Amino acid sequence: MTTSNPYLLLLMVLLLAACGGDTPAPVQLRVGEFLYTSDSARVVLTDTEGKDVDFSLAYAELSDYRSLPPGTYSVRVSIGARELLEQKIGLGAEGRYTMVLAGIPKKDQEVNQAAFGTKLHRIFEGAAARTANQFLPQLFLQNDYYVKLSGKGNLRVTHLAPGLLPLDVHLLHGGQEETSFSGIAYAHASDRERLATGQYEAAVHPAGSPLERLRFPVELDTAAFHNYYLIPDTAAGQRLRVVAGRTTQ
Amino acid sequence: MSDAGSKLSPISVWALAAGGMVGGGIYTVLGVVIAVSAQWAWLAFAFTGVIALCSAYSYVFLCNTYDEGGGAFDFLEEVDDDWLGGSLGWMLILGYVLTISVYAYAFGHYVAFAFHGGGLVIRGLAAGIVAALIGLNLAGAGKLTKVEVGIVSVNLLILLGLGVYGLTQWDTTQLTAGVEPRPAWSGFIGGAAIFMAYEGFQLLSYEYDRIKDPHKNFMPTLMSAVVFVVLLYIVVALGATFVGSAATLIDFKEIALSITAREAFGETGLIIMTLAAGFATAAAINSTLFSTANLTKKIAKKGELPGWFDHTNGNDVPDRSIILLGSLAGILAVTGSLSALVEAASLVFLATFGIVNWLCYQRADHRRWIPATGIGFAALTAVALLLRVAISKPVAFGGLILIVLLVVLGRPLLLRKTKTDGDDDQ
Repeated sequence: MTTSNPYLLLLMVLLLAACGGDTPAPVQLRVGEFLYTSDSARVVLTDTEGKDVDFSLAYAELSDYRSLPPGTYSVRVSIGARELLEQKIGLGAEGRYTMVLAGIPKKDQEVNQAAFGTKLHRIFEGAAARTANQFLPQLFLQNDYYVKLSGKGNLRVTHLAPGLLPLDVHLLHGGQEETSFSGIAYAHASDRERLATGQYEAAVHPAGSPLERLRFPVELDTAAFHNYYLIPDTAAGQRLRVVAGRTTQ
Repeated sequence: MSDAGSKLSPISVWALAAGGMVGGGIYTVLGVVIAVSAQWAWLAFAFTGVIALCSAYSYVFLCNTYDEGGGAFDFLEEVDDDWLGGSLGWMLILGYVLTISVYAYAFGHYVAFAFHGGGLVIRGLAAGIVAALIGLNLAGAGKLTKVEVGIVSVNLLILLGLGVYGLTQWDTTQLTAGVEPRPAWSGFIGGAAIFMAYEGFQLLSYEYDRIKDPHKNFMPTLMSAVVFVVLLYIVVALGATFVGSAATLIDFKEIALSITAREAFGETGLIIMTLAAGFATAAAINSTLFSTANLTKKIAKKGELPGWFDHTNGNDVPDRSIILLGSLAGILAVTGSLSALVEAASLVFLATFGIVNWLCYQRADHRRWIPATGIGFAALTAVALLLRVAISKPVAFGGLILIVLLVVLGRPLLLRKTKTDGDDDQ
């Protein structure tokens, strides 16, 4: 056996490249509280050693990122004494995630109450399963990883207004439509879109409709990933509002 | 430039079989399987690898038994089952068209990502590569075995390198990073969704007559290639996720390995992976298009397709088949979604491999447990896949049922009509 064997040579180079075992970098996690209720939600993450991390958030509040050790966590979401959700999640080293809480809590609902269709989707689609779940409370993780490109900004729009039809989001630059996201359904997000940096306006319409439901400014820069969460405005009946979040690497 | 006349050495057969599977497979399916199976994605590859292994055995057994090249269609012709042979032939052609579209889809995404291209660039590249390879095949240069062997060898080396590098970064939290951990049985459903990642080896059965001493060489060569690819997929599934993290590979499933290579080796890694993916998918499109067109010609000659498909150009290339099938694949690549294309192709090949295992089981005197295992696993996997498609994509499921009905019921009517028209013309 000599190093002229390309596979052996490759193995040696890779082993050398992998030398230097650093301790794993922490995870950055933030929580978006979009459960349609006037009460605040409490989110408790428990790691495998039993240590807790707490978030207490009012409706429409998007927390700052918090550093956590990577690992598997049990998450419990409650409103007052009522526990709504309980789920295990994995958080990987160096990752940035937003834990999104959405839906309308019911008075006597069970923990993790889910529609039959939602359960089937989860069995057969796993992490790709995203359903309205009859607008019952649900929790999902959004990955805030993005690819940084010079001269381009990243953005993503998430529809979190239960009961509302799918939405079209038109991005306007200098009055002209630059791009649009079509038919974003409830509990779904648009693809990450990379656009030239600068000032935009986003116009939100029900899918296929000329009726504008919301307009908000969007400022894209290369340094950040911009997330926009479209949620119901509790103070103004059927109106929408937007919560913006900025992620930097 | 065509080297279709020379005999294939065992090393070439091994490289073509392994490269045929890996060529488009792992580039497109990794994110899809991680979404379903999370930390058990590697198990999904192992589980479906069992079907691939049993099927590879059955393919070689039947080739050796009939002492001639051919795939499932030819094997069914040998047992005089024209009805099933014709129906399966049509389904196989559909499966290959879907496969080509998946490869073109992957080509468009991987190459466009390196150049920061958006939707239009992606679609242009996907359509462009199919158009270019239609042209290459029409010019009679579709079978470039030596070039293919070179491309797939480098491709295997790059993937193995990325996988091994990933294993050296061992970090099991990345397997569920950003997702909910999944139970082990999800590996079974994940495997069902991406079975097409293993289909490539069976193209070698069409080359049986070109293999040097096939009775002696074909079985060990093909089996070792499949075992290697199963292990490679497991290594890449683990290694890439350790580097890229589960949620990121799911979110960027169309370019999962470019993201991984970029995370591991920066822009150099991205360039190398783009070249590997670009050449591998192009080679896979080329070989699949070539084989499919020849299969179509053969099926037309046997009267199971309208005679229109039997037409060849001045280079003795089945031109109409190449143009029609390539164009269909290009349209699907431009308009389809990744998981829908992968799942539809997986279903066709599960059915095909199940039938080949069944034929082997009937003909074999010993080691019948091998095709029996293949039949059992393929049947279970097909049921899981049908359920998945019905639940996650009911419209696509309806379309699939319609196509199957058209093939089974509409095919005899169409053939009867074209034969009658032909008689009238005479």
